[in-house]
Amino acid sequence: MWLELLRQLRRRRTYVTFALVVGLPILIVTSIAVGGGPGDGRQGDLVDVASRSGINAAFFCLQAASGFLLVVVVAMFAGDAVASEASWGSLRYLLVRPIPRWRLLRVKLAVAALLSVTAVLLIPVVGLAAGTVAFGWRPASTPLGGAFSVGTGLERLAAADAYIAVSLAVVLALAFLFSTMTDAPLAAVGGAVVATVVSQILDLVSSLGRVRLFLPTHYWFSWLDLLSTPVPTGAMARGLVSAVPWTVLPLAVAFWHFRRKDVLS
Amino acid sequence: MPSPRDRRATRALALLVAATLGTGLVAVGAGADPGTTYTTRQFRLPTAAGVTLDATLFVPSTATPEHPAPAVVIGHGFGGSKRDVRADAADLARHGYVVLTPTARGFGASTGQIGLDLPEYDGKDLSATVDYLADQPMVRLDGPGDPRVAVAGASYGGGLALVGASHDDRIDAVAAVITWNSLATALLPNAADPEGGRGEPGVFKQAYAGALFGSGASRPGAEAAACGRFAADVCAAYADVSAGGASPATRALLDRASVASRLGAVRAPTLLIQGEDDTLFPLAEAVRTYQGLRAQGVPVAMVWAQGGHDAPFSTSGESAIRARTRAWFDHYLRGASRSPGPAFSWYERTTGRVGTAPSYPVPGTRTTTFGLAAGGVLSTGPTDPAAVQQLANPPGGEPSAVSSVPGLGGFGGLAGGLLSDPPSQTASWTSAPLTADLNVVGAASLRVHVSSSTGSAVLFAKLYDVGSDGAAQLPSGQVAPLRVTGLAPAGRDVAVTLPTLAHTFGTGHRVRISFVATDRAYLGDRRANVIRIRGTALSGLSVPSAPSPSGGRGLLWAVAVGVLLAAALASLSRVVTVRVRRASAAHVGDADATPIVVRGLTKVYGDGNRAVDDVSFAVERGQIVGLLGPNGSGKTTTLRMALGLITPTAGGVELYGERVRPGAPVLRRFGTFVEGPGLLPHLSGRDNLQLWWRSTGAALVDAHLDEALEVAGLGAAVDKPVRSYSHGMRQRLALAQALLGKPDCLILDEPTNGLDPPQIREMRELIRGYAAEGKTVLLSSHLLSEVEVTCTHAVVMQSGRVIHHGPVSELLALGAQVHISVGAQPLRAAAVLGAVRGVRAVTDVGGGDLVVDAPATMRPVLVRALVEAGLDVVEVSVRSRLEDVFLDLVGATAVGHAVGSGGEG
Repeated sequence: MWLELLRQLRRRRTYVTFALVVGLPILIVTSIAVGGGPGDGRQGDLVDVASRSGINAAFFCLQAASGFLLVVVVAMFAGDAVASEASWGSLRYLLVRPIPRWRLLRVKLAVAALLSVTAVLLIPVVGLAAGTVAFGWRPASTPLGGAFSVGTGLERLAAADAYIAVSLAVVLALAFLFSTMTDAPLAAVGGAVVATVVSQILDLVSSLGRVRLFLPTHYWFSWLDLLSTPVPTGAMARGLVSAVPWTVLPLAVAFWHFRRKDVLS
Repeated sequence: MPSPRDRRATRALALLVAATLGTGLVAVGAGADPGTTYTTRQFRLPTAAGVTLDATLFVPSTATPEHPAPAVVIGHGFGGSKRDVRADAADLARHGYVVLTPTARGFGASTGQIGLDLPEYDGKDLSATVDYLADQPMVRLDGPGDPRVAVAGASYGGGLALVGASHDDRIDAVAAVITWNSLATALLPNAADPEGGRGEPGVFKQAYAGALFGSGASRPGAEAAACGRFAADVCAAYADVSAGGASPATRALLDRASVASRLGAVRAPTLLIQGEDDTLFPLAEAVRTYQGLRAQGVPVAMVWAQGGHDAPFSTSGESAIRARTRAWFDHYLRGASRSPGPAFSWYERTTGRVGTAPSYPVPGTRTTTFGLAAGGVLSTGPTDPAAVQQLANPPGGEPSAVSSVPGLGGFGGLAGGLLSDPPSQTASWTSAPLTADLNVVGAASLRVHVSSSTGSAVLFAKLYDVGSDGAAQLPSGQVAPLRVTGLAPAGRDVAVTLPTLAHTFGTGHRVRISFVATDRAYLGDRRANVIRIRGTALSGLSVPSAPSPSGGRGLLWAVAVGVLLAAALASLSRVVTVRVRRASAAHVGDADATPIVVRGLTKVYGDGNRAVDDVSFAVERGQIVGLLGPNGSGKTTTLRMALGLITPTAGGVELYGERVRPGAPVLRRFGTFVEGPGLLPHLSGRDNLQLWWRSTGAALVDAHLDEALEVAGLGAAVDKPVRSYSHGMRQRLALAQALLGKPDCLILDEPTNGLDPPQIREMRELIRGYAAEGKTVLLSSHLLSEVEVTCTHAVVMQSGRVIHHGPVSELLALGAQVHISVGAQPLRAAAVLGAVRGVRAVTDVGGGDLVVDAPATMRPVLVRALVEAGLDVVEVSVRSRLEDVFLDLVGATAVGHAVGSGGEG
């Protein structure tokens, strides 16, 4: 596990990704601070209140990152996990070392998950730090005119981050599945991202009706409910429940498939 | 009279039996370099009046008058000949032993009549054979006329070894495989006799004996139709027992053909290997020899192996037998310090593990006792003497129960439908489901009270394993026949010894003891009879149970649970997993087993492409085997299957006796290089190797990293990222990776691809040096020169099939051309040579020189033919090139094995 982490951490790809994940909140906070004032005055947008406090800034960074950046980052950590070994030709050498296939997948999955969780954590943490520097340590405001104490604000921020982490587990699982099936890391990463985007697009087609409820991304932004008081938990609960099969099924298939597959790379 | 159908079946059986008997054995040796070459000499060895044996002597190049070597005589199975043990003898010779393989009298090209291993017949032959060895200057002597010699053999050959050791005290060690202690107990077993049938003869094992007799009687050239090549007294004895009798003369003859009667005279350390699938010579035969020898202080060890007369040994089983025999002879003939192995070991079928113990019975054996209670119940309480069961023997003994068919195995080989006990002929008692595993290693016994309407009875006692679904399984098809006489109207108590077994009755299974009046494999009682059986007040069924092999089931479970827990933990809290894997690291195959055995390996891809098609070969310790073939011939797929990367469609691979599956622990004994390097480009060469080695939690000190890096010869570049390396550097680094930890065996796929000539040379040196340390190398190559220069053996593949397999020298000889310079009359010489059998083509190349397309070994024949025709021979030479051979082989397959290469110049 630690060795695998070591192998991944020494990769340039990992540095660049984390640099991006750290840089984005700083960039957002900087641009808001420099650009100044609310945006175009639309009600209910997080961006309108982003400059009210550090916590507000962190919330906005989360919203900005969770739609696409974090999807790509998580897809990359997971999609690259096995496929990159296959593309280097090192997968066969690990398997004949011998590392049992299940154990290899488990460790790969654990490291991908660890890196992904770290990225998901970094966004609000860096956003909070940069926002506090720029806008001060004070209670948070909601886009709808409400306000939280600092303590409640931090709690809600942590809960939102956790919810996003669970939602992204779906991306992790899909990318990991693709990673066990292809020798091209890009295909695995791209496949997971495309699947996510397609799901988001389908979610916009209202004529699909109730079918949309079963899309993996349908409840992705339900964490915005955390900004209301009291918090309506229904959608988030459904979101958590829907994330379970969408995560477990691809992972189960990945383990089942990889265990019996002919390693030809 | 047997019907034609019966006769055909018997014939098929005889063939099967002969094949089984011939293959059981045995190759011995070690100590010396296993790559030792040897020469063979065929000759006829006169042993007695009118008897000369057809024999072959194998002399290793290391055995010289200055350095004489110990010798081994190998006997063959019944109905076979010296040819059956040729491979064993060759292997043994490669290990530095002088080996003599005679064909027994009455078989093959030997003269004389079949003597059934009797001391006055085959015993004399063996002594004459030992005399002959004593005269050979390259054979080590213990004294004048007394060579250092061992005798080995399976079945008939094993019987010879034991009988010989009891009559000739010059024999220094014995390895007897699947053979008898007493022909009386084997052919006329009686479970009611304390001596198993030597005291009171039992029931004739007619199916097996008939098959064996047939294989001796139906040899071509048989003079008398009735007796075939059997000696008159042997033939008479057979006629006697098959008619249902056993006269004192017959029993005396069977006794003399057995070691049982002269066990006290055996002084030679004896290794007994008996098959668990053997109804002809069951485990009890070896047990009697073992116990007798042990009681008189002779070093003896007993192995119960999977296989036997009912089911051939597996390749890995054979290789284990060879290793065991080798260790035995090394210890007792050469004084090697390595232990000759545990005194007792057995194969546990349900788990596939081998148990070992310092003696038999296994220390710590407990006895579980059941009582025969009313209602056919085998109770854990006392026996109920009032619970009587009655069974009937039908007149003529038909219909009869079927328990085993010789050569087809016991229960395992038979469809369940064949296994049937007619209810009216059967008395049985069945236990309640067992609450714990009952691991039987030994013979159960019971006392019953028997009475009958005729005053005597023939019964077949069986110990069934009844599964939770109610299906009854007869372990190894073993039956205990008993013949009891002198049953006064009141009947009497009989002590019955049930078959010796290594069998686990699983939890939830039931134990059933059955008595049946008939059995098709035996010549039973033809008189109608009503038999009554009940338990006696004394005791019921006693079943010995040994501790489970290695006692490790608990540990195994603990490891399994630990692995599961760790898996859960690792995925939740991502805690280290290294520790668990260390715990399971102990299980990495059998140290002595053959490194690589490939059997019937086939891979068919989804598109129907048969990439590998029924490939079989073995790589023995110390060999450098080249897998040779053009690109796309299936080499890499074969290697990948051997490493568990690809799942075979059929067949399998065993590495050190362990069947390969993905991630099999035994793989850690292998260093591998498959289809080019697989390195992480962002890490340095050193880090790549370190991280790879440590990925299983192995300690870095065991990797011998510096020595491996020296092989790679990367200099300072070793600490630079691999992405900056040239192709050759990566290649060398990957080879260094294969050498990490000094693995026991290397599997290298096209190792010299992309290396420059000096590096190729270094690579070859490295591989040869590796094999010289007694390690093993399997490499693939599409370059013939590569294999010719580097390898000891070659496996040639084409279109997924093996088209040749053998030593490289053999391969070279195959396509050799003999150049003969005859001077004058080349045309006549060509005609003479062309008429010699085995010559494929003769080409006159001018100047009186002829090129003869024939194996190099035919040179003497060719020269003789020329001389006899009155022609001069000026010069004879052999020219061979693997290239030609290979093209020949590949070309031959390409046109569907069309033979004949015409007269191309």
